[in-house]
Amino acid sequence: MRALFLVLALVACGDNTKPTPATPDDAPVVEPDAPPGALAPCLDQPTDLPRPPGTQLTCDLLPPGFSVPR
Amino acid sequence: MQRVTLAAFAAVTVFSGLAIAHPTVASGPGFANKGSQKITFGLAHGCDGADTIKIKVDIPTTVTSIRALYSDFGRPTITRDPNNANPQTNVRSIEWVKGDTELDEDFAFYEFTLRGRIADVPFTKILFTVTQTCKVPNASPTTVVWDQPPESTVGEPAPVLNVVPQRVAGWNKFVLTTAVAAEDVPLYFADAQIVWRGTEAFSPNSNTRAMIQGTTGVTELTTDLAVGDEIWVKY
Repeated sequence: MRALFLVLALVACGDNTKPTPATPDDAPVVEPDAPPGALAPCLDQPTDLPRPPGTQLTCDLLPPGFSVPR
Repeated sequence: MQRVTLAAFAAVTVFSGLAIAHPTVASGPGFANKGSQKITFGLAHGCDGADTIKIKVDIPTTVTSIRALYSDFGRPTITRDPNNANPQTNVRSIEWVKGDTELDEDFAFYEFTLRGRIADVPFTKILFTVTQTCKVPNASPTTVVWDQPPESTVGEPAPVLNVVPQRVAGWNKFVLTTAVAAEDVPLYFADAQIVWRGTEAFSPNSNTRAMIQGTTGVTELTTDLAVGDEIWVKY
């Protein structure tokens, strides 16, 4: 009985050590239908801290549906 | 020769004085097709050192549903078009007259406000003709009429209300119903983050403008906007 309880507890808890896929902090998340490497609007990342921009337009300043090959 | 030089200097001095002193719309741009908007006129100067004792603002046909606010001068009075029985559209002018005596010098700043509805005329400029009356103690009143467009080289410039479309925070798509000259783009998009037409972009922010210049495949928006152009604007 004790062994059965132990098995059930393990099944219920699952594997919490498995890493979730994550985007690198410095990479913008672009719209899923944009070609790879394209300049495209990004999805909102409300948990990101605001940072000063670089020399190129950031994806949040690109309008919806915009895509220009780099 | 010396007389000519002095005359030119005097002309420049007088012209500069008037240019600084002209009444302005101090409340910022108006929104097209929107009611209950306050439009405030700022009057920084009187006339050649004389204090202002009266001001009359003529109401253009593109501003309706007029309500006049009390000012430092006290109660407003309005004039209606006798041939128009509709109170929403028949106010032709508002006048404010100072209740007490004029100041000894011209040092006061006055504001006059009306509330009204602006017609659906985005990306246009509405001119208000203003008649200003001034007086110094123990002298006759003088009157200045401010009724000329900003680019005029004669007369006195009227206050201008820049009309922009209604918008929300974030991305807004507009299809232009009127052309916008390239030199007016900064005027109408002064508070935008960025404006796009295709792969051309404009921003009033110099840092964003530098990024526009540094981004491959993107060019600066420097030409006139035409009727039918579709633009994306982020506020």
